[in-house]
Parts: sequence; C-alpha cells; structure tokens
Amino acid sequence: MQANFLRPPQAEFPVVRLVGVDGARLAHAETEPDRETMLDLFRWMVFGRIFDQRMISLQRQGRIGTIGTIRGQEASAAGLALAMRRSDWLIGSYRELLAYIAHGVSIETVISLYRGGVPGPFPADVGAMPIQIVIGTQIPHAAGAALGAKLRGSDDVAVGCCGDGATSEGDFHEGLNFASVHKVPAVFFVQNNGWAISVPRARQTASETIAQKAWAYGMPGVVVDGNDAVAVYAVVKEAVERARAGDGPALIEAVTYRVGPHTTSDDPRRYRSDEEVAQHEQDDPIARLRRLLEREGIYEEGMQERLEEEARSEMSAAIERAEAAPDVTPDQMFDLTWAAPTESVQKDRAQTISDLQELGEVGKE
Amino acid sequence: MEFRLADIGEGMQEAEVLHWLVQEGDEVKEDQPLIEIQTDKVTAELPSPWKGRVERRLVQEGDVVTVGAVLLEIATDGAAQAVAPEAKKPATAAAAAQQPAAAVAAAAPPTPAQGRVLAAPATRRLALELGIDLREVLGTGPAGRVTPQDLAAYAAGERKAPAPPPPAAPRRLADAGPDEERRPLRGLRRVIAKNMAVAHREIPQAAHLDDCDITELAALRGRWNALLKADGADHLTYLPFAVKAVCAALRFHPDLAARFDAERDEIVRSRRLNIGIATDAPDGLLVPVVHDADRLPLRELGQEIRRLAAAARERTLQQQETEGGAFTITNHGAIGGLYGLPIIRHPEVAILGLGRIRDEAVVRGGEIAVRTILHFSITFDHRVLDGGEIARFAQDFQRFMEDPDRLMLEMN
Repeated sequence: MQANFLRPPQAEFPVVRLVGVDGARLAHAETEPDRETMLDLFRWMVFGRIFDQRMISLQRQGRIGTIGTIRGQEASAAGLALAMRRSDWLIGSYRELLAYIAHGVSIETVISLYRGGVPGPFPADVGAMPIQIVIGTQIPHAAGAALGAKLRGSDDVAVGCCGDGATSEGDFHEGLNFASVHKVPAVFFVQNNGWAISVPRARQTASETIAQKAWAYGMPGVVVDGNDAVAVYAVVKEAVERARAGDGPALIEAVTYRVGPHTTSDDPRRYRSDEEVAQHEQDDPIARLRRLLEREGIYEEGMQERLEEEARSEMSAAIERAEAAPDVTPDQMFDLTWAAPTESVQKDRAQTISDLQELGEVGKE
Repeated sequence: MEFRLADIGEGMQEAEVLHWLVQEGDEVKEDQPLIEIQTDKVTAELPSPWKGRVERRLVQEGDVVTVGAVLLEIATDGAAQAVAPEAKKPATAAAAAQQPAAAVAAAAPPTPAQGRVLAAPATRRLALELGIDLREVLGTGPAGRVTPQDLAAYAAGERKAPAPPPPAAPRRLADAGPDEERRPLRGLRRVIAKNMAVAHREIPQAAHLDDCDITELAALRGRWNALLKADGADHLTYLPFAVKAVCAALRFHPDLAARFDAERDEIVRSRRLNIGIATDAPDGLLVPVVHDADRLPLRELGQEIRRLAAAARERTLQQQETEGGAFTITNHGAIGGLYGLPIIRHPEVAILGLGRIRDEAVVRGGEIAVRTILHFSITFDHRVLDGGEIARFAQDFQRFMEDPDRLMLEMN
C-alpha cells in the first residue's frame, strides 16, 4: 500500500489584488475602502514616506537610535491600521511605526521612544502594545490580548504583526496554535517583504506561501498584494470583522518589498543586487494608489506635494516637541513595567540608585 | 553650530571619511547630505540637522574620525535654527550613555579616575565596607576589572592606580617631513593591510618552490585556442588549466583545501573545491572565488575567471563571490617574477603562486632541449601541514600540468 501524502494545492492561495500596478481596478470587495478612506490611505502613505526619510536623517545626525525603514511597505502599514477600530489592539514591531501613528499613537511619542525617552502612556482609547523589537513575540502577545478581550466580554480584536523572518520562530507557531484552539478574536498580519535582514524569503521557509501555514492550525489564511493599499485594507477589514463576530483568528500574508535597508545599521548592497531593488521600485505603492485616485477622479492636482509639505511640517513640529522633553533618568526604567512595583523591583531600584550614587553617576549636574 | 560624528552603528567607535558632499561656503538645507562616511557596517551619508552655511570643514577625506569628533561647522541664522542636537547637555553621565553620541563632549576617552570602574557587585560592596574608593584601585582583572584581591592589595598599601594618562590626541595624520608625503590607508587598502597582518602574524608559513615542463600543455592550448578562435570565442589562458590541475591534485590531498580553526585546534576540510583567484585591481588585491571550479567545463571556467576578474577591477563583486574559498591561486607570473612567496589567505592553509612561464634550455635524455617551463611556489601553514605532504601535492600538480592526458583523465 502506498501512503497518500497530501499537499495544500497552490491554487488555494491566489494573491488578492484589487488594484493593478497601473492603478486600474481589477476587482471589488465588500470590505473595500470608500472614497474618504482611500484618501486617508493615500495621506498616511505619503506621510509614511516622509516619516521614513526624516527618521533616517535623525539617526544619521545622532538624534535617535537605530531605526527600521519602511520605504515600499507603506500600503501594508496604512491598509492595516485604517482597517482597525481605534480600540483594537495593535501589537507590532519596528516595521509598524507608520501603522502605530495611523492607529492613533502620536508621532512625537514614536520619536521619543527612539530617543530612549519615556513618552508617557499611549492614549487611553487607543489599543496598542509597546513597539516590540524582539522578533515574533507579537504573535503570542496578540493571542493573549485577544483571549483577554474575549474573557472581559469586550468586542475588541487583537492584531499581531510580524515579518517573514519571524514565521521561522517558535513564538509564531505557538501563538497561532493557541489562538486557534481558543478561537480568540485575533488577526495575524505578516508583512512578507522578501528579506529577513540578509536572509531571502526562499531560505526562510519551504512552503509555497506563508499564508498556507494557517491550515496547519485550523484557521483561514490569505495572501494579499501588500503594495495594493485597497486590497490590504479590504482583507484586514474582513479578517478583523470576522474575528469580532466570534469566528476566530485568521492569518494574512501581505507580499511587499523592503526597498530600503533592514535598519540604519544594515547595508543591503552586500547581499542583494541593485537590479533587484530597481525592479521592485517600479511598483511603488504610493504611485499605484495615486494612479487609482486619478483614474477615479478623486485625485486633485498637487495633492501629493501638498500632503508631503504637511507631513514635513508635522514631522518638524513633532521632532521639536520630542527633543524638548527632559532626558530620561536611570531610575525611570523601574517605574514603567508594573502598575504597582513589586517588592523585588523596589529593591532593585533602590540598589541601582545607590550604586549609581556611589559611582557619582546620578545626582550630579 | 558644530556637527559631530554620531554613533550611527550600534556601538561604533570610529568611521572613515569617504567624500565631502559640500564645500566651505555652501548654503545647505536641513537634511541635505553633507558627508559620506564608512563604518564597519555601512556606508552612509550624514544629513545636516540645520539650514545654514558651511563655515569650516574640519576633517579630510580618508581621515578616520572618532565618534563625537566635530566634522564641520555650520553657521545658522537664529530663526531658521532647528532644535540642535547638542543644545541640551545630558544631565548625568548615565543619561549620556542613553543619548546619541553627538551629545557627548568630543573624543576624550574616560580616564581611570573619571570613568566608570569595572568591578563585580560583590567587589563594590566589599570596597564600600572597607571604605575604599574603587577609582583609586589598580584593577588586574580582565579589561582592568577590580578584583577582591586588588582591594586586599590596596588595603595593604601595595598597588595604586597610576595617574590617569593624558587624554589621547585626536587621530590625525602625523606631520610629514619636507621630503615625504603621507597619505592614509583607505578603503580596500586598509582591509588588505589588516588581513595580511593577521595572516603573517598568525600563520607560520613555509614555502616549496619547483617548476614543471608544460611544453605539451602549451601545444594543446594552442590547438584548442585555434578552435575557440574559429568559434569566435575567448581564448584560454594557462590559468584555467592550472585551476583544473590544482583541483585534481587537491582531491588526492584534501587537507590543503581547508581552513584552520585555531580557536578549537581543528582543521575544517572543504567539501567543495572553491578556488580563489588573486586579482590585481586598481584599488588593491581582491580574491574572487570560483565556486565548484572542479565541476565547470574548461571553457566555462575560463569565462568565469575572466568575468570575476573584470568584476574585481570594476569593484562590482557580490559578497558571495569573495566568500567560501578553500584554496587560492595567485598568478603573479602573468606580470612578472620567476617565483613569488605569496602570503596565505587567512584562514586557508595553502596558496599556489604561478610564476613566469618561459622557454628554457633543459636536459632531456642527456641532450639539451628547449622546453616551456612554468615556475611555481606553494606557501603553506606549517601548523597543519608538513613539507612532505606539500612535496607530494606539488608532484601531483606537476604531473597534471606536464601531461594533459593525465589531467583530462581527472577532469569532470
């Protein structure tokens, strides 16, 4: 007898794309953005491009620490954030900074975090967990936050974000499994940008798609064109509303491309060719959405330039505010983990301060 | 306003100035690139934090500058001035550690009396109990760490920390004498200098010199090149033949296609015959690697060597094209030199130098004959290889070079 091994058929994972690279509508979806929302998407994506440039500049000037770049991934970030409700949990990484801002966290707060500052809590009505640099933790965190929402009887959904590289981590698989077993209101959003620092997607997984991993955990999965803001929005919206209605978690793979370096400490020319980048730059998500807006008569002459100018002045004002904030002091690191510090935290805090005083490193102007 | 070099690379100490992108007197806009620098990790353009005019450039292309050093001065008109990174001085040294380095005063390194003294918490506690100021104790542990023994010695009045050394002068080119011209090692040259010094310092290198009679190979090459010419294809140099002969010989002597892991005292044999080809490029020596050289047909091998050499000269080699080498060949004879004594490409264990090829008068069967002779040298790591094995490798190499039939029997 021969065992009948089954493979998931590739045909089950077509790429959802509503708008072509040339800006033409290819299809419609029930959850697609309306006219107003399309303009919002465009505004946030243009902002994201400027934000990215300014943040890299600030890092090169020594004004903030290492920063991840988002150039080329604006559609995924904006489509994700705008499809969520403000109180839904956004649990992201350094690649979701634009999503955090579009979701309701202030620009100044994000800049402040990258200055090593203590910007104060996120707005109370915004569901957002701290930006986590550790790879893949967002997935179990989202599963837990979603379970919490379910137990509290809230109808908020938790969205956990990660990249293609994180899908090789145990956290990713544990999180998906847990979420599915407990049928929690979670959405898992993977930005597959082709590169995990210098490791290409082909070396990351032998699966045809990342989305098909959802099958193993008994949840639906979908591949969406991550440079098509309209499609990303529609797909996330559907997944979020499905989860909110009690139908359990889903996995979204947004296929995009990281045009810039992994972070300001990375030199991608050491591992990928300029031709590859140039080829992907042909499909600029901002240009694609603009072409759609133009075709549908929504775009007004000079709109992009105006939005860029607005973004620049918003950034300048936010930078000024963030840099005017007082410097963080060493004792503050003990104050922000627990609502009420535990006994051991209090002890550590006192010990650290006394050690630093002994070394003459605090209490001196 | 002074624009300082920030730590833009997660703990970098210094960077090399590649290019100035502005001239003194230029008007610059906020975020306009001012200067291009190279760190261990990246090449980066540093953009201006301010709108203004470039007053003075304080470093030169090729300088290696320390984090915190002033790169240039920019005059800003007060109104247009953005928030200056160094407008606020960090309140405390601890806060400074979390601040971008631009905010830290220029390059003065911490002296023992001022900076943080390394010591374990238990040692700190002991010092506190003994009433000893750690900054006065001479640490003998790793990186100057103060140990409990040091405290005991200090208490017994034996060892005191030396007076702090004067702050190190910023690194700059020493003045040149009237008949000298000094210039800094830059870019590739610096890398070569570092690699060669490591190879020379760590590897006890010995050499083996010999020659071989390649008259028959020369005739064969002549016939094949006539065919290639008729096809309109590039001709074959001797180098691809030598690569094939090396591959064939390495199969009998696999310990030469290896690297030495000195930390673990282990020889790591390569399962693939990736052969590095030392290439004379305008900026300095580069060693592109022909991967699986034993598996390429000779004609393709010749093309691949040609392609890699061109990429080396144009500095367009991809990183993977310089990695994974198991053995290196340097063909200095193409330029000159009967024999060379090449330095091993660390951490490989042997390198073959191909010297001059010329017609020489040699004795064959008691008669003087004119034959085509190739001179060659092998430098090897005497820690892991001995002269006997090298001589046997050299004999096999000779045999394959002297008798093309034998070489073709080994080719795949």
